[in-house]
Amino acid sequence: MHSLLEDYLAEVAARLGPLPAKRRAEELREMRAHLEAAYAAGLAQGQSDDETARDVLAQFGAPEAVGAETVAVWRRGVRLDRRDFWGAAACALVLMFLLPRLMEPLQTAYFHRYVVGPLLFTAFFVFFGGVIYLLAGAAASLLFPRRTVAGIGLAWSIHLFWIFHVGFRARHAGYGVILTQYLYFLVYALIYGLFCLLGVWLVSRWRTARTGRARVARG
Amino acid sequence: MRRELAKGDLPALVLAVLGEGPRHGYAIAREVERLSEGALHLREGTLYPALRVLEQDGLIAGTWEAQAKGADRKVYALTEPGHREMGHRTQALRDYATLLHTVLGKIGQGAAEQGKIGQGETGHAQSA
Repeated sequence: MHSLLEDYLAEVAARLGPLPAKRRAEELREMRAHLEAAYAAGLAQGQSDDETARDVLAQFGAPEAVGAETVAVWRRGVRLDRRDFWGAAACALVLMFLLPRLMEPLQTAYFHRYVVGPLLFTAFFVFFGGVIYLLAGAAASLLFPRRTVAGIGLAWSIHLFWIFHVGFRARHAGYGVILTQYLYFLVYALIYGLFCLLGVWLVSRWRTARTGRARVARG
Repeated sequence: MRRELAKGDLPALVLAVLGEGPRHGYAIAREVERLSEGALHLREGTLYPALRVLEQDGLIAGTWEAQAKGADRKVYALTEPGHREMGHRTQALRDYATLLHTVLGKIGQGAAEQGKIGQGETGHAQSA
């Protein structure tokens, strides 16, 4: 490629400093492909190398403007990602705290386990709780598609910490009981976390089927 | 007459061009030039930020594809929301163009009437 075009790309690259390296490389790769195509088309019309290169650059725009606009759009993407991360975390956290309140009547019923049998009741408890977490994941993914997994991960961590904190408050019951309780909570938390991710995945599949493109955020 | 494309009109034009089929950035620029018969001048460096915004909004999707000749190119296509949005934005642009035409037409009529009145007054003055 002509040296003027290489110098131009170097100037634009210098202005793309705020961008992550991978993103910067991709932007420059796309601009390079464009300039190469325009340069080849200009040469095919019988123009000289220098004249073609200058025309191509005049058509493309000043490197300061191109660089500034590219960075501004990247920052817009970062703001949207940040909004969706906190939005997904807040949405999932609210649902994770609120929806289990629906299960409180069932917890009373737990003490009537001799009626349904402990295994059947545990399975139902897990399933019902799983549906709640699936809905939390699906809702967060629907409303905030760009950083859903990361946001839900934060919400789940906070919720898990809260569960352990609540469990620890019962330490007067003895550490053996607490340890058993923690293991019990941990297993439930892991299962519910998987249900949450299942909700996110289902929304992602639905969105892909509708739009032809996955919108689930990167982690 | 060559006219620079307004920045705010670029996304709608990009969506309209992609409505005809997937294209990479250079092809979009050439298509705009071809359709306008060279009258619309596009600062091609602004095309890629506009494409990025449309990608962020989920209206288009870009994928890198190997080309028969030359380097790989990122080819863009409309998503389903993009098809709907293209319809809205192109209609909004058409409505705006019609509105401008109407307003300018009325201004032109008004100016012509002012000119006739002026001629009439001059005619009276001359005959007097």
